[in-house]
Amino acid sequence: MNIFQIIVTILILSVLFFISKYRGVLFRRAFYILLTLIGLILLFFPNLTQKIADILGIGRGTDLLTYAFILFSWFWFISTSVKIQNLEQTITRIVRDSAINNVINAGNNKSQQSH
Amino acid sequence: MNKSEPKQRIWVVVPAFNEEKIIGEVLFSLTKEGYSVLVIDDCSTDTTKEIALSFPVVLLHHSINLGQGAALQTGFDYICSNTNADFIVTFDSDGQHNIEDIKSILYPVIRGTHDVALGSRFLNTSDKTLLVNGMPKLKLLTLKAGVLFTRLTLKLKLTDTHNGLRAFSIDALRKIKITQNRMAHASEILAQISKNKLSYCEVPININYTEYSKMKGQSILNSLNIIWDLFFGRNQ
Repeated sequence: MNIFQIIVTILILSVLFFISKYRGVLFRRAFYILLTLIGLILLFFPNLTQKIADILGIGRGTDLLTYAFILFSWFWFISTSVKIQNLEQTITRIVRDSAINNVINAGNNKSQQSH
Repeated sequence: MNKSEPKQRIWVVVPAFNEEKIIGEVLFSLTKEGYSVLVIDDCSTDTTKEIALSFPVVLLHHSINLGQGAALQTGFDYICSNTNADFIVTFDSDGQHNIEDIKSILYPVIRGTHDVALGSRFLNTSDKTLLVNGMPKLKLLTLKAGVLFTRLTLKLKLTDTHNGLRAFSIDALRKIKITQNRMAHASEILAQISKNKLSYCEVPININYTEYSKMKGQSILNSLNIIWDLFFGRNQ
């Protein structure tokens, strides 16, 4: 066990600790735990990536990791964008409803606040 | 214009964000003409709201800044559910539109020949030089790109796709639902005109390219943001 493996193991274990606290969708949590465990396994058996790469027809194990990382990043980016968008729409709806419910009618020279 | 159409049932929707320098002038002439005016204050940080309140208008206030598209839709929602409007005009608050153009843009909609009338700064055949006068060259190029983009993606044949002056019949307005909070709403409105098969026409109008409206207007770089919003911000 070299120093790199020790450091990363500590990091991964702390990440696992945070994921276990995270109260999200069960599927999401399971996905992240699985991902971390895979990372842990690959850390101690780096040759495994080469074997998987060979099966998939990719030249090197490191390439496989790069591709996986890019794919994961995209997945994360898109799911986060969708979430932000939904949030924005919710905020818009709230602000819009409150604007319409609190119409100020300057025509009658009085402010009317209704709910 | 049809004489029997009472002006109170024509609603002019004015979305406003930090326009204290000019909005008083705009609202003064709109209310003097006798139109019903709806101002949507998109959480201005200046005195826009206070100035608007000194005119006989209806004011809606966004508690946070959402963008022009959102402000327009707030106005549309209010008009559809709370007024007896027959016709609706959208009018920018930065003084770039002329009050007289409202009559011409309303004409096809009131006459009933079209559901929607869209203002075009490029359609004025009488004086081509005047129109492009004062408009920055790059701006012209960007607008032309928008026209081409619309022609290709929506199959709408228009000469000006990003003009804030529009007229709708109330039935047409009920079919428009803007979900793009920021500036991509101009293209979104066109997309919904196309999707709902609303009949539309363009009306030549003039844009005042004053130093003020140029400063307040859309920067050309923002058109990249608009395209991004259109592709990635599209509603699921």
